[in-house]
Amino acid sequence: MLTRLKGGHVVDPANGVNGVTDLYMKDGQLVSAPTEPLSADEAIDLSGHVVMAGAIDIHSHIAGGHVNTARLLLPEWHRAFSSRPGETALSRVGWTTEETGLRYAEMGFTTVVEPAMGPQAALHAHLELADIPIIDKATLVVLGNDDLLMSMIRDGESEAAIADYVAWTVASSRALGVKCINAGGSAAFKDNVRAFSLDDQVPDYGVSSRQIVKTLQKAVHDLKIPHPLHVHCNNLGVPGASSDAAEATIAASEGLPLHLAHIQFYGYGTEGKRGFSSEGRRLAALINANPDVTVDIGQVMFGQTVTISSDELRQFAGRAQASPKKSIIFDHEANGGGVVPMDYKATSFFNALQWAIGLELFLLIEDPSRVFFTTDHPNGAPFTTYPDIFALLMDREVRARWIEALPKGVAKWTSLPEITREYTLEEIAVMTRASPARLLGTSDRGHLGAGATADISVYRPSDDKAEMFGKAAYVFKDGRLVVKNGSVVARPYGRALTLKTEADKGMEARLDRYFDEAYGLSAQWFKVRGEALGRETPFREVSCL
Amino acid sequence: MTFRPASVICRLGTESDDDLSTQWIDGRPVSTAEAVRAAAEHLAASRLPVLTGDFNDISAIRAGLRVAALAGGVVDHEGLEAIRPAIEAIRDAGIVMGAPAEIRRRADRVLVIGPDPFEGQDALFEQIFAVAPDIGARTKGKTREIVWLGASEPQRFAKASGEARSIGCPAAELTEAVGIVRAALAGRRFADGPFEPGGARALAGWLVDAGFGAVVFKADAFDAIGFEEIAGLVSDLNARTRATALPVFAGSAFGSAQAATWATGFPMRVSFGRGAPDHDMELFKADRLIGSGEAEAVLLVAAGEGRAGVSSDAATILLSTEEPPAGSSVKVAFRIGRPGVDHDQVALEPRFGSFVAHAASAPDPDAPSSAALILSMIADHLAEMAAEKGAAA
Ligand SMILES: [Zn+2]
Repeated sequence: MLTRLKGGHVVDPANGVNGVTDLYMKDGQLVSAPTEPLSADEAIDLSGHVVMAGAIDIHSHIAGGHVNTARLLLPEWHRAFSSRPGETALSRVGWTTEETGLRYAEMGFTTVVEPAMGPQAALHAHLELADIPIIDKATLVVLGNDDLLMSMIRDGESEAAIADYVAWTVASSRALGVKCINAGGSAAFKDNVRAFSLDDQVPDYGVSSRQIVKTLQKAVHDLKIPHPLHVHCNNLGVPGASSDAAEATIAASEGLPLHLAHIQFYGYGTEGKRGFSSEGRRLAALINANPDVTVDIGQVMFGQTVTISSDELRQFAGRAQASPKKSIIFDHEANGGGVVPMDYKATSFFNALQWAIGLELFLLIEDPSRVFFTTDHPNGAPFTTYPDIFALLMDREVRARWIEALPKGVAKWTSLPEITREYTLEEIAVMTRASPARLLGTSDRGHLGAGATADISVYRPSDDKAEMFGKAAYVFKDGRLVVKNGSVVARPYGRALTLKTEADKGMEARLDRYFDEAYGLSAQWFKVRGEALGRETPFREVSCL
Repeated sequence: MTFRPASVICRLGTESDDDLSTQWIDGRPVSTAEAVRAAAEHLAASRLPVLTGDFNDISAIRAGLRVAALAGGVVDHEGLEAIRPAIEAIRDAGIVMGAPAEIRRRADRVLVIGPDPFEGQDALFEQIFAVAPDIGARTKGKTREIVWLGASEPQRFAKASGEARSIGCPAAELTEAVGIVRAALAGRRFADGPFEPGGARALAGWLVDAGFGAVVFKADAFDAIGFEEIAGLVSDLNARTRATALPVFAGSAFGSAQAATWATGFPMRVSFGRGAPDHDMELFKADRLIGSGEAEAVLLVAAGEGRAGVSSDAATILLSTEEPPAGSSVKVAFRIGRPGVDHDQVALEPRFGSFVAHAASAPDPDAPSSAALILSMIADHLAEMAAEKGAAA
């Protein structure tokens, strides 16, 4: 069936379109305009609406062992949802697999990346992803604190052998890319190290964090994995040391692409009597000057949330700030991790400055194709706060009202009040559609050209940007209408996007031996097979470069 | 907002090759479609359907949750009471816990508390204790030391790589003993309790001097307070050195609880009686609801051997690996395949600390359907009924 989407204002920067035009879709894909426009079987009038590709979230913790542990740790949070539907901020958290799919779709998001899947928890992550309706999903698999990689680096093994190991891990776990989280830091923490920087060495291995990052960056590049190595830097959240870590890692890109996650959490200096200040302007300048580097923000918004991270060392340190006062820390093989509840208070100088630093970075990084829209859900805030963040970026009067309400003394520690920039619709489309698709190598989405997957979000323009982006007028997923007037009307299942890659036979045999001898585990257990997920089409493969 | 979770199994049995020997209504052999329809109608007509049993395939609990959501029922697991203290302690107070694979490679000192955690878990024991720690600057190459608090002899650990000794302690005093070690660690005053004079301080010092300590215990051997006390000890130790807890879980309840947690936000017991999932450990206990007669219909999954006995007066839908008992309250019965034997199974693997997909060990095209498939068909039928009702209204 040929469907004509008629008369909408199409904002499709990937194809240089920003104006009123018709779109056509057939069998789940966008197609070229037929020579006879009236030949469409169905026409939907979108005049007066803004039409964009479905939005893509490149970094949101939506599935897996740690996310589920957070649910287990915070039943009170979920209870708030079930007893007061539709009322409070907590009720919009998107806490279950079901809610995750529905809430994302209602905002016009159609692809979401779970960025921290441990290789041993890959099946768990994919089981949860399979239960998330509507949206497509993808995962980044975590390496960089694992015994084998560190041993291979220490023993001077070839780049090819290391790449084979990385390829095996990506293929087994059905990931789309690779992330490293405080490279070496979790391993060091297991040896009772409590602070760890880029040039520190992991005890016993004698390998530095920098060596691990650089090795993985090269392996990902050599394997032609489209998404560059996704790096969670050292010293997250530590005033002074965090911005030093970000600066050193930005400088370490050295001509190859590198993605730095939730950069806001590294924008902290030590000035002032509280020893906490903004390094947002300085980090933005460093990013502007280094075209190898992309970043996502990890914006903080006020309210109760929970931090979920495979940075075991920093999560352990964060236990002291847990609110409510409880946390779970994991000593897994390789990364481990932690779940620490957090209540970002609008009345706190620290939390308010964190909020401001995120916005400084959003607004001072000049190229919207190198900065990505995230709250590091749920670490900075639940993804359900996105509509408010769109409003903060697009409307400086909204920003001024928020700044006005900050605790006394915060405004003079941030350059935010002087920033007049407002994101345009086109820049929003670049940041949340065109550019994420390019960064992930998923060329079938993020744009509205012929051949693209018909993931389309349609918004009713409004001066209230939170209203506009909070409830899409229509959302089409694979050409099917799934949201109308901000409410879900159909809930088909999407797929997990996985990289088309194969493991080397020799590495396969080596890893069978290694996991058995080193850990008493079967290497086969790491392999995610579609049949275990109970979906007709659990995966869609994405090609390497 | 109505909760409408995943349809788990997409493949449906076809009528043509239907086998009349694996499902019954009131003891009479019927087709799969008839039995599925009867089960769905029965659940839909009931004011409070209760789903329970052993759900030892994650696909089965995923499908079971969907049935309960569509029928407005309660979901429980027969092993839930055994993991309840762990769940309550973990969500009240948190924990620092480790994977067995990491403990194998890193733990130079292991404190075992209470009854043998490895009873029926030989593979897990072997995984952790067959070798000495071989990584970590503070732990590599050390002889592993094991202390078993609460045993008269180190029995099982005689076979472990390393040196084992025991400290006797009556079961009823274990929680107190852990509290005493915590007091000794903190430099607070304490009574000796079950320890010999100086014993508690020595044990605390031994733990603090570990490079990477592990505290291992049987998860269902402690109440929530005991569990929390052990987690507290591990937390305290981490202020000074590294230590991690390993509560050992038996059975499929913890895996099922995890699936319930991602699907509903809660680890079970969950009710969909009000639409959105509600959680209450006491209120939604299957035994209580069945015993009191509040449950108008019961759906029981019995995948283990010899579990087909049904004690409920409520009309029951039984999914069992065995033939249903004659003359019971069973209304609709399905013979199901054995998970992991006749069909694939997804289960929590203790050695892995996560889920593993096991291929059927003896796949047989003539074997009865999996519980997951039957439950999915019932859910699909319930969804159709709801859609028809919606269309009619
Ligand atoms: Zn993150």
